[in-house]
Amino acid sequence: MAYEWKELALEDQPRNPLADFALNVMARFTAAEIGLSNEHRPMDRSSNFDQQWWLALVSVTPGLSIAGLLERAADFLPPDHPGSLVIPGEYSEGFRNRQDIDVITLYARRDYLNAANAANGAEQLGIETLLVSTPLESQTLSSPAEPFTPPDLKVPVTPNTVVTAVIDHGVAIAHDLFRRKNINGDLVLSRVDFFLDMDGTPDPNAPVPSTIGRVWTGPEINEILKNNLHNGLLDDAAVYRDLGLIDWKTRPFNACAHRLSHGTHVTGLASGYDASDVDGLERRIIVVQLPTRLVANTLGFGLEQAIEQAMSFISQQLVHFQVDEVAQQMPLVVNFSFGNFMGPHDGTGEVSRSIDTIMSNMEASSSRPRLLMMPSGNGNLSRCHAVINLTQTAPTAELDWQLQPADRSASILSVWLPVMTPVEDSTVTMRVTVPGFDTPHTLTAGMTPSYNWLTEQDHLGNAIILGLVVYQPPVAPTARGKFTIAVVPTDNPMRVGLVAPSGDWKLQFVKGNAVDKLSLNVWVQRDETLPGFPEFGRQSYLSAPSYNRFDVPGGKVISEDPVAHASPVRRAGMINGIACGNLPAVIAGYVSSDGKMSAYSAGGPTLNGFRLTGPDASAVSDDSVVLHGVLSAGSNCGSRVSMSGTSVSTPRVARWVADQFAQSPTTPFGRGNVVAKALNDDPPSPHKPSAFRTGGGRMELRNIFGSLRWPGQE
Amino acid sequence: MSNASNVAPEGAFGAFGAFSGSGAFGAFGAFGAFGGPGSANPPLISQALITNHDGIAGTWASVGADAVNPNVQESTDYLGRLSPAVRASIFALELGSHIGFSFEPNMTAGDPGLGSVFHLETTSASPVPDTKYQKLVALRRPTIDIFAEQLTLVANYADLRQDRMAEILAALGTPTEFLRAIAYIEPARTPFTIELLATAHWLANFVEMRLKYALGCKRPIEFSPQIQPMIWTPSHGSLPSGHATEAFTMARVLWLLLRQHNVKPYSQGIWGEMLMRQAARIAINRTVAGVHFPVDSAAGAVLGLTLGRYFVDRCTGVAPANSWEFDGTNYPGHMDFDWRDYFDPQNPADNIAPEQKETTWATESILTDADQNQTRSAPLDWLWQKAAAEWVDLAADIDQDTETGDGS
Repeated sequence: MAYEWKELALEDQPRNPLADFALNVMARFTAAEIGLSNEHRPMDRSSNFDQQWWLALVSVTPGLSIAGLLERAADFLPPDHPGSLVIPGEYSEGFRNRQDIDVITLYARRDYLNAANAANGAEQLGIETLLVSTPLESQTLSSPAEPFTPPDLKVPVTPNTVVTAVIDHGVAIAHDLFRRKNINGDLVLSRVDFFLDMDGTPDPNAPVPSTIGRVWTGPEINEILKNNLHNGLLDDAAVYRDLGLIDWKTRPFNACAHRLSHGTHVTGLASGYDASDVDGLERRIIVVQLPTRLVANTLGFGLEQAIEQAMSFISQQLVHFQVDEVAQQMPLVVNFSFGNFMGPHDGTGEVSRSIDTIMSNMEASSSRPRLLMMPSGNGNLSRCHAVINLTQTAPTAELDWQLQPADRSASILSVWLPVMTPVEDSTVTMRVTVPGFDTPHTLTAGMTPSYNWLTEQDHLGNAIILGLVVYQPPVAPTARGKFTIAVVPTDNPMRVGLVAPSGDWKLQFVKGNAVDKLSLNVWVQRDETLPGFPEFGRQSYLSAPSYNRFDVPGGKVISEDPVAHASPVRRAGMINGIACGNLPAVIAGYVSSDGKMSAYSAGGPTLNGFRLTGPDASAVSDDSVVLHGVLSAGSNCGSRVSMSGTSVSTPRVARWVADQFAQSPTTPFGRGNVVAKALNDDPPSPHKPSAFRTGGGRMELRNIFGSLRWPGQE
Repeated sequence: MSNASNVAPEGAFGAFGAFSGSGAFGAFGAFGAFGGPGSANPPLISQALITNHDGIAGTWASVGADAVNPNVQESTDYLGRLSPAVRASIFALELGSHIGFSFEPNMTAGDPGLGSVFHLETTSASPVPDTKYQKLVALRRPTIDIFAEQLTLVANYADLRQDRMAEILAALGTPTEFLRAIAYIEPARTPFTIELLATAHWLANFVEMRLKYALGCKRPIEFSPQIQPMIWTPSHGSLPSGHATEAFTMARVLWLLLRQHNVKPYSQGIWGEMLMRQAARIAINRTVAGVHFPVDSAAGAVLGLTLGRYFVDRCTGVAPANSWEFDGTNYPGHMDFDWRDYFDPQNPADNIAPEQKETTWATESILTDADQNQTRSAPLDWLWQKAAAEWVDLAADIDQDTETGDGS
């Protein structure tokens, strides 16, 4: 075991360490996980790996259009690599010529992305920042040379129709709660008008073309439903086989074949109606299923990158709705029940910005309300947030970061400085001590980036990179300096080479003389296996002796930071890192029976002045202390299953929002209206949870499927 | 090792734990008799009866020649007085003695041969019966390449193990446990239906094990160390799947039984639909568990559906009308199992008879000269009538026609 620190020269430093980490440091692990295995010669995977396509969320140099971006790419890319960049066909000619595009999605290979991420990537390629996570399944991508011709589709609806869009994973769209009866009384009309399955294979003959995945239209779905209705029963497995959602030939994970699928449950709460329920007739659905690879990848910063494509897709389908044969945009509520721990938590991250931009554009162009719903997250007890306060009297603080053994996913931690431009050189240092390596490494915050590899020598004498320790000075619009540590998995069953040491990674922060006091925010990225997926990641976490998990050993879980606690590790501030933007309505979860916040339900504060306390409101995410979760649709027709988490409280509010839209389709409506309803439902009282956990308050919403489980409920 | 205690590592045949009293059928109180050691003889009672006899029997009084009439012979009246375990042996001979088997090796050495199952027609004994073989069903195994391609499906299906564990373990017992959740089967209410299903189960097992032995198909675990089945891999061959064979046999028998007396709901297609879904679920769960290829289920479905029909033919004295051949070498290697490829429940209520379906690998031949008289079995007929009587509707105003109208 011979560890070593290696510092990179300024000109060799990639600009986004996490993109570099995903593209290069993690390559040997990712290649093995996605089956590019060559068990005897792991190095041979690299050429195969270079052929993989990545979804990248990038911000473009101001003033540069997509057309300009392509010109620069053509100049850069060698002639034998003509195909390393794909601009989504969904971006119209007009959009491609705009010079104010900010954040867009690209599909690219590693050579382009590495060049874009290089120190000179901005001037060479016009890419200011980029986010990548894990390669896509190659068959899910097409390479449109030209912008798509917008399809001429007409979806006739009634004037009071509201569209509910769900961006999720594992959506069994054929569930009977999403169907209506035809004139013969057969339950074969889907209320899903558009379904983008990002795991699908693009079909050039499909009515709606797609760069990633397959778009299914209502009439196509209805045809499949009709063909698979036998003796009054839908053959679920056959429907999902026809849609490509269940395919045991090629896919090891088929969410819709499981009893419980996240997206089905969420969609059921957001817009599931019994066929006899008249409300359902005027609720239409758009579903986007995210790529399984991105969802399963517990690296943690991949999932939300697809949201820009998802939102663009939703936005483009709205033009097809017609009332009395006249095109009319309908009110839209979007539910995105996913979360993450990282990010600046101040609304300036790429994802938050792109969400806010798309929502404002949609709203401005339609004069109909549009609202995006997001969960506050389930990380309240995950010990993934710490606040380090350094003062003149206590200029030094220590924090332990625990990497678990048998963690097959990467572990990532970031430390954010306060807003500070410039950062003077003697502001703060971070020292990292790796378990089993007695030479710590110290980084100094300032205006100079610092980029360091932790390497270990393998049996052939090669230095293998196990992790990155990086400092980046503030970059607009996030005016905060940042330390980042990214570490490869601590375990892998395949022949991938050296893994990282698990155990106690010790961090020490020392304040310099440039400031009197300093508050640092630490967040650890989520890297846990998602429910239903095969065992993969194990969550790394922060530990401090003064953090008590239970009131007495073996006793009750403490779900709020005690008033006078001394621990740097906090429950507060564990709010979903991508739910800190200005526009989304963010929903926490509470327990119906006792009115307490669900222990996992994460809260603020955030660092965004427009939503300091965090969530906007809370809704029921657990029926009772013993009946965890709430009931909604299971994957198979007719089934109801329970699921808990802020993933389920959020769509309950989305359903209520849709009701409000239906009553008043042209009235502007924003998250403020959700807060108002919450304040009204939950007036101040000694038992009301703090605004940081519950936002405006605990919303009292009509129980949707709960009476099946607990007849006492309304 | 749980193997040592004989707790059903053999999977399908674990259902016959009933035979050895090991209690797969434990849940079925009444049916316990089927496998139990007969009436109990507690030592206390025996001791009591010995002293009791000494105490009260008195002087031996001899019995005269005409004091007792002889029993009838070869009469089904006698069956009702037998324990189910004894009847099971009788039914086994009725069925088993009319099954023939052959294995023809392929003309090309090493290529898959054909295992054939016959219905044996026999004339009355004078002094020994004449016999004629009618082909019922034949199976040819897939090539090793097809199995290898199928293995990816097995590997991917492992995804559902956590979801399906309870079902997979419960299905180590009899499929009756799953069929009884569809039809109103209950030991006190329908003892003969349970017995009939167990008899059909016996036939399926009797035939499938001989075929498995002949075809000698390797199990998934023998192809890759990464399958890691979640239950014991049985010692017998992979194709045809015993669970598929038995579940489809019993599902088809049960639906024909339910419709015997034209009771209203049972001729709705949904009953067949549900019974077939259940059989398919049992079959697919074996792939989830990691012990079967999808093609095993396909072969089992063709075999089971054929045997189910044949079993009812034997019970009701109908000549077999067709035979089926499953040619595994024509099975597309990437293909999953879908029961709808092999059976269409249609809707008998609308006079659209259910039918077994052909594919390029499962083909039908018409039998033209099967002799109806040679299928008759009085004991099986007795059992069928007893079981069918359990499904006569108790509705007040129903016009009960005792003849069945839809025949498949």
